[in-house]
Amino acid sequence: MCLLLLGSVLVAPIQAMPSQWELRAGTWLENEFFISTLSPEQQWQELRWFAAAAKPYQGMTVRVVSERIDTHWYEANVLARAFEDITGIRVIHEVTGEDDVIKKLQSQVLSGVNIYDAFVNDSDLIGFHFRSGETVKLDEFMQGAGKDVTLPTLDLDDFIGLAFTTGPDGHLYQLPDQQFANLYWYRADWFARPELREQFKDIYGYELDVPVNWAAYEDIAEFFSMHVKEIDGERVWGHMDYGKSDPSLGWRISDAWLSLAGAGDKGLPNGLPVDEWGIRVENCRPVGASVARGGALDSPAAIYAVSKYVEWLKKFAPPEALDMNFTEAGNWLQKGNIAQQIWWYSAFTAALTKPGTSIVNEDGTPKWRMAPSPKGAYWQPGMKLGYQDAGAWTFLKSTPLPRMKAAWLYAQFVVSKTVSLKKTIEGLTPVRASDIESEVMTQRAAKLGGLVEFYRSRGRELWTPTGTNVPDYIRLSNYWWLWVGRATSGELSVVQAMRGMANAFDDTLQELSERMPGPCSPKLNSPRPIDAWLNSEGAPKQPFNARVQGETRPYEEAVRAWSFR
Amino acid sequence: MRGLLGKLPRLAALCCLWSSVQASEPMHLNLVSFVDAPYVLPVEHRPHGLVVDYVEALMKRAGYSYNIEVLPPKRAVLHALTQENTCVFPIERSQEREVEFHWVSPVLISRHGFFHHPDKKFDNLRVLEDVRSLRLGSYLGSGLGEYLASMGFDVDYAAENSANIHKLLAGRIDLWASDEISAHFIASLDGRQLPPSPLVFFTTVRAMGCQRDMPVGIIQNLTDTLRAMYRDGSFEKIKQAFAKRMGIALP
Repeated sequence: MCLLLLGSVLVAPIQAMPSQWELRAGTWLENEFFISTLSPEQQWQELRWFAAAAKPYQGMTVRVVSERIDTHWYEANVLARAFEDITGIRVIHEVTGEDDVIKKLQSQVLSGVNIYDAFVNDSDLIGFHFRSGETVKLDEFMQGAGKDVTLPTLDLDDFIGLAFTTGPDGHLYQLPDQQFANLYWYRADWFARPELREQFKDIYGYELDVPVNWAAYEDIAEFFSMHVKEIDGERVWGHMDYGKSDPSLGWRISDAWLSLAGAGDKGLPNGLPVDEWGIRVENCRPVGASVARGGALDSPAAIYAVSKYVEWLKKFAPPEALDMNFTEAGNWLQKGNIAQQIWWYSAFTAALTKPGTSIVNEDGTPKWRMAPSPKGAYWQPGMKLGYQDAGAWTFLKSTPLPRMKAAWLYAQFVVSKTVSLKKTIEGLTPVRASDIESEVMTQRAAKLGGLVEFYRSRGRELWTPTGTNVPDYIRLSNYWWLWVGRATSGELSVVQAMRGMANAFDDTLQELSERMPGPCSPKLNSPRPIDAWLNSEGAPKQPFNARVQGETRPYEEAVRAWSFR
Repeated sequence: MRGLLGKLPRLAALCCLWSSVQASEPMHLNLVSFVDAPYVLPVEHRPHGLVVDYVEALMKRAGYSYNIEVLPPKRAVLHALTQENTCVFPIERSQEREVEFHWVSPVLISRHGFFHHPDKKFDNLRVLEDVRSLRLGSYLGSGLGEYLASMGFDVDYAAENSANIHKLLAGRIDLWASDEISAHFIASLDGRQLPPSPLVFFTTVRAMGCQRDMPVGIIQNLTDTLRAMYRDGSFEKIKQAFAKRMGIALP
């Protein structure tokens, strides 16, 4: 079949192409990109377009950087090589820690030195990109200077995360490359054991199923850590998290703890006028994070969120978790001794579905499932449901135009329909609707623990990244781990840490109001008595101390929440 | 206590204001570094090198008097962690280290590649995975060596980077993983010329880490000055002057 494919191409309309190119491209189609939502002829057309558009840049070496997940390893080691074979443009695709990517972007912004020709940068920075004036507006680029290097079959409407990378000004600042969601994770096999279900119901009075609220999550955590303790001779734990004071602790808290506790306001994608970071906006202007200025970062709901984080980490997680970071804690689940995690990054799906591990059945299906995360006491319908990470191609104005155009070709290649389905299978971080709806994904769904079901639901739109309220993610994200780390270590109480952080946010917003001019520049509210804000509608909210009854739902019922607002 | 903590950011802001005022007055900073040729190297008991040139120009432009002391690497870092008004350079701004210092960054942007024996050919190196079966030379304490080892590559550590040229020539390692400028400089000290790296695979950004109690106004002043010196080409001029002086080509 593959030889037939090559043969048909050799006699058709690419006779102008050098035969060496045909052989190289044919080899890639035959050996690597053999699954695609495009027909073979359509794939050939895309590759021919890339080769022709790249001609002015042949022999150039471009340099890009991204975070360290399976998807980007595949790009760096396989797709970069394919792109060079097809276009003659060499790509050095560096892979490093997320924090390092951000620091490098910050260094290029500060110095103006062209360190990289493109970044795969999380859309969490969209608030910075649209305000800073340093980032290329891709919609304008595609219509203007980059028109001759913009893939006619790019099909922007097929990208599921475009809303995350568009600024309030309507401009597209980033092109999604990979996406993963923050979801509840649990051992479905343990939850199905009759003796454990019976024991749980005897103690707590309801079924051991997917927790709908934090009260149930807490009960289940206590159940496995304090009552069950051992399964099949192994010590097990009812909760997993991490507490090491480093930047990944900040992401852990800012991604989901406050939003799922219900600290912000109703309204998607991030809560309006107070978002999930506790920042209040008026129109698009951030006006404060402390309660005194109308924010919610030191509100009772935020203090409740971080108190639960610290309490559960110390009471229900393995003792080692206190000194772990994002990567170490992510790998821990493979040990097979964790019953549930309140939110878990679906980027780890590939690692947790490897055959032969203790959390995968012999037939290749996982022993675990992902489901919607439980909500805290302050959460109400209409609020943010969960976090989604969207790593996206980002170009800075400090990059010379020819280099930017060559890098843009590579960025489009790694998300093109010719290669994106294969990339999705490798990294399980889908960005295109056409890939998610493909027959290939249907066939694999049973082995992916709920990933396909999530990405086929409206959940892919309702689980959202950090929003545009955050004007400088690089600076403000540091405060999360610096202050929460001090609460985790016991140096400060949670109340002290959140008050300190809220004031630090306000001070930075004040500074940014001078450094970042424009219609969406921060402008602090004058402080008001705290009660005046707490007695007003919405966030920040009054303290809520009533005990909430634990509530669970069977898996099939729980995942229906992905489809409803 | 709670009340005092709540006021901390305000106090920091006051400190900031105070130190901005102070920045216009002569103020002395203690700088510590470590031997890292050709960026920092003692010549006749005085520190020289490309990054020393950068930092000296930065201090002069920002309006601070300073002294530079060259110490063993671990001692230099420890010194800056514990001594007032002290900064260490050039160190990597890692996730683990982030909390320990106030940062002035970047003071050095380096490209790292694989270098091979002049008589051997490695034209087939295109992506990092291509070195999977090879023995890679690095040195103890190198962040680059740790990066490669963390991905399962076969890394052989020397006590110092300068030893790798000899290991490479003796065939004890297949490739030497090093930043480009250091590799060419070390080879030139040995009277040799290395072929260009067939795969320049990683970039690092190094910074000056200042003791946590350093007033934030000083850090901001240094950062603003650094930005201006990059933007007006001052650092590029320093780099080219250094290259001319040392007789080496810099990218």
